Amino acid sequence: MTLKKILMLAFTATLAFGQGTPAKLSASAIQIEQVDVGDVAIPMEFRVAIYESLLERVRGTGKFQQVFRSGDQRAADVKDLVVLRTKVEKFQEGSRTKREVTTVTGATKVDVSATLTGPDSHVLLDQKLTGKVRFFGDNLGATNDLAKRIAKVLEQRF
Amino acid sequence: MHRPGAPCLISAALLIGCSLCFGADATPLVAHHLMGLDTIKRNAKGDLKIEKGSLQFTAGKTVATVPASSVTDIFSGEEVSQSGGTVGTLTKLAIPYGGGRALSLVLRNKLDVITVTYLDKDKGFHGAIFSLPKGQGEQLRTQLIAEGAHAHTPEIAPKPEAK
Repeated sequence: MTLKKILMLAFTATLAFGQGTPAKLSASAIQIEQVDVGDVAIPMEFRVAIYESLLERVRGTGKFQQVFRSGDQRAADVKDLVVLRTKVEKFQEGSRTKREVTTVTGATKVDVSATLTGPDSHVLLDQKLTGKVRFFGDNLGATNDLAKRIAKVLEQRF
Repeated sequence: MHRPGAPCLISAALLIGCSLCFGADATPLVAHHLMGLDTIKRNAKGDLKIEKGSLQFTAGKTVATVPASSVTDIFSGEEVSQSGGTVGTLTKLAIPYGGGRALSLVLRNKLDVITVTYLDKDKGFHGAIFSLPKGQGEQLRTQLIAEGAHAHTPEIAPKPEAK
């Protein structure tokens, strides 16, 4: 084994054990709660669109056997249920026409904090994410972008 | 010239008009399903109507039904969208010297966006979003409330100022 190979192996081992990637989580079911908007003024269609897009995207990951909607009574029977909550931190509604005419203004942006809690209510994941639509597409596209990012985080952690 | 029968005729016409608008089985509205109904694809175009105490959306052969009694809230808003679809978008890209940008100004149209939230049999929360031609959102909302749907919010949801 050459010195180069030994160094390479040592480097890989350092990456794997030294810094340490967070341990993978596991749960058979997830419940997605309604979006909490707090004091942020955000139209209802955006609130609902984030929630519905999240359900669709999380189902699409295939990481959970069951994906429950907010309030679904069947979720109470699942022992290893995790709950996803999203809170809107900031919302900026742009304009599709402005985006297409100027290309630099009119972006729609929504910032949220996504929190995942386990069966004993302890926080498993807490992350701030942003969904945006900058060029083409309707304003509601920002909600789909956001849901895609949240689903990606879940996919990496499960 | 004074016509004594004219007020009666106008009243009768108004009554017939109201009964047509708010009758149990209204004529379908052409709408786009933006998202929310499990059996219907996103952005599907179809007929939206209220029939037998339910909100029905028909896209092709697929029908999605939401009983008015399960509706928890209805929100009506506005949106400015671009008409022309994929062809319009491609045309905008193809026009040289920024002509596509000018086309964006011409092709914009105002729409009503209606959001209906409801509960399923397991009490799971759902939200369905539809876009309708301008002015028809309120009509649909009124019809749904008349059929027993709940609505707590003001008729026009305040929109935040776009920066």
